[in-house]
Amino acid sequence: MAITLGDAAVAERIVSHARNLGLELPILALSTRGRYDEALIAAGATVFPESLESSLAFARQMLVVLGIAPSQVEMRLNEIRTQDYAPLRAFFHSTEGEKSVAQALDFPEQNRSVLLTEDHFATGRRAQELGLQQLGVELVDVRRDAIQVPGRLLDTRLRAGDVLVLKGENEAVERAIARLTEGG
Amino acid sequence: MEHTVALQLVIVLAVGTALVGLCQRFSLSPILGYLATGVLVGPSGAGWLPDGSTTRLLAELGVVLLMFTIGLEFSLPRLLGAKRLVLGLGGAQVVVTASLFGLAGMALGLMPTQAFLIGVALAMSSTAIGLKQLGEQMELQAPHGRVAIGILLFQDIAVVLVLVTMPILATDAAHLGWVLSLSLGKAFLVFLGLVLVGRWVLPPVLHWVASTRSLELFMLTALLMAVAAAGLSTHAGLSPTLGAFMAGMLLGETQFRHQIEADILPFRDLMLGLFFASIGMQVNLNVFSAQLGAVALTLFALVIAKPLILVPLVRAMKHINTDAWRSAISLAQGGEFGLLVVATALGLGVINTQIAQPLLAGIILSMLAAPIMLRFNQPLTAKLFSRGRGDETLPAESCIAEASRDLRQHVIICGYGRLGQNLLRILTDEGIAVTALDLDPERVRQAAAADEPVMYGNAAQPGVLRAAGIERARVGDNSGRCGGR
Repeated sequence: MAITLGDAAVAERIVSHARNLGLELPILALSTRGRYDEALIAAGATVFPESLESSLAFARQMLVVLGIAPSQVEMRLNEIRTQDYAPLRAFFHSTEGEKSVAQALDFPEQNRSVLLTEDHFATGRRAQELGLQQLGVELVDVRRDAIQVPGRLLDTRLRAGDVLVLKGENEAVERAIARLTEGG
Repeated sequence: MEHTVALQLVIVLAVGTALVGLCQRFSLSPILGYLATGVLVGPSGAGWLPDGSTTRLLAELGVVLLMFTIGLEFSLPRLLGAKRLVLGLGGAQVVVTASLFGLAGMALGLMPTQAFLIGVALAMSSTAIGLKQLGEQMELQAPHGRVAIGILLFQDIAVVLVLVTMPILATDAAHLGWVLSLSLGKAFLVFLGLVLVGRWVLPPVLHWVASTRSLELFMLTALLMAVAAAGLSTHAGLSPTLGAFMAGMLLGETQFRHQIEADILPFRDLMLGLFFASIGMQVNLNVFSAQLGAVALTLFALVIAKPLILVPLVRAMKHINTDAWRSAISLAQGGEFGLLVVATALGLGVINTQIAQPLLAGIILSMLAAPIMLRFNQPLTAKLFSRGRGDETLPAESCIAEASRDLRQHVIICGYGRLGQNLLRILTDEGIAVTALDLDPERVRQAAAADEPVMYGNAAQPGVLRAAGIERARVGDNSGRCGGR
């Protein structure tokens, strides 16, 4: 079955209806907004995330125009699909106006970067001590001068001048930034 | 009778629309348009709009809705994230400025309560004008912009406190302690009631309302909640604004926050417009001849004394001199909250018209001058420090040219929204050199700090594209409109 409705609530109802009948058929459902993906998957559908797919389609077209071999392009894109589009889900959100509000709803995960200074709480501590994970925030990268280390591999203490790239939901990231700068 | 009311309304709306439109044209805050409307159509002007109870009621509703939306936007994590700037510097600005002005007022022969209320009113700057003007000048993220915003944020919170305590100050000073603790107790009870209702009753109700998918019903519910909370707290003998603020704060925690905000906004803006018009109506133009000295004194306090008080405070927070001056000049005006405090004090009889008139006139004049001072905060500061510090930000184009100098066979991405960022990730993985342009200064700052090759620049300008090395680029790409999604 294919569900191509824009209204995610209706789509979800259809999927649960079909599953309640005990049917095992494959269901592919369109998801126009990131915020409904989980509900649809939970109801038992395979989700086609339109906006993320359009990013992929755009990138494919771009790579083809640039003369990269189509087979190589497909491989790269499938790699992203098998990771459930994880590399595409978090990004630096728009920070102005109503757009940023809609974006926060559609794509709850976002990236934020923080520059540590001398008097910040996190300076001089180990990344693991900060308990960012409990807040639901991932330390993606730490940038120190010209080098960039993935957060989970960092084994030295944080220094002033380090830039931390955080990933998580808005409120969680706000709390994490408060902890990094002020402690608590 | 009905006829004349309708005609009056048409005239007032026409004048308001024309003046607000004029303000838009010259990119001034619409608040000034509303104020001017009030002066023109009010008793001292043409006298078309009677200062009747209906006008007052609607204007008050506007203030209630304003507090409700401030409550909605009030986020504790964000406040704690910036507590040094907001609570520290903002608190210092309000307290020190209000105290000094209060002492000066007492020296001029005012009662202590009056003097300090006026001090607080004059300590407030205009969030509406400041945010808008700094935003248009792309200075919100600059150090002086952040200082100014932090202080304005604290003022937004402080005004809630002031409005709440003012009715208490208006009562007999002899029992002040007793009255104060009584209303604190009441406030706690109201808050408790609102929390209980907000936790257990509202979410299911809102869920049900949302599930009906009727926008009207949702809007009505949101309005009802704001007004009901205000009514509840009035009933408990507190200010209606406090109830509205608390209700907004509680609803701000729910997932419906953005929807509610969007629904309330049009009502709020319109009724606030009426509020400002009603303040304009209270200005008697004769004040400029009768009490010119007092008007000039108010203006002096706002435009000269206030920044002079603020600069050492900002310096104490280890900001450099130019930033301190630029932020102080940005805040050298009276604001809508100052008008609100004066109008409320007048309504409660804490001050009389003799005192309120020159204050209102002075605040409004300073707000007229504010956009110009904000616009020229940089040259004004440069005048004050003629030696300069040599850290003038390079024009965007030369920055971009510098950063793109070594790029060859690269791709330029215009717009660094979701699509642009995802494209950059995939292209980089393929080993293709990429540079991106975007117009959201904060996002650019964030991403650039994380070492992503994005720069601030408007790709619609030919010079910017050339600076980004379009002549050496592999293929131009356009991921939607610049500025991104």
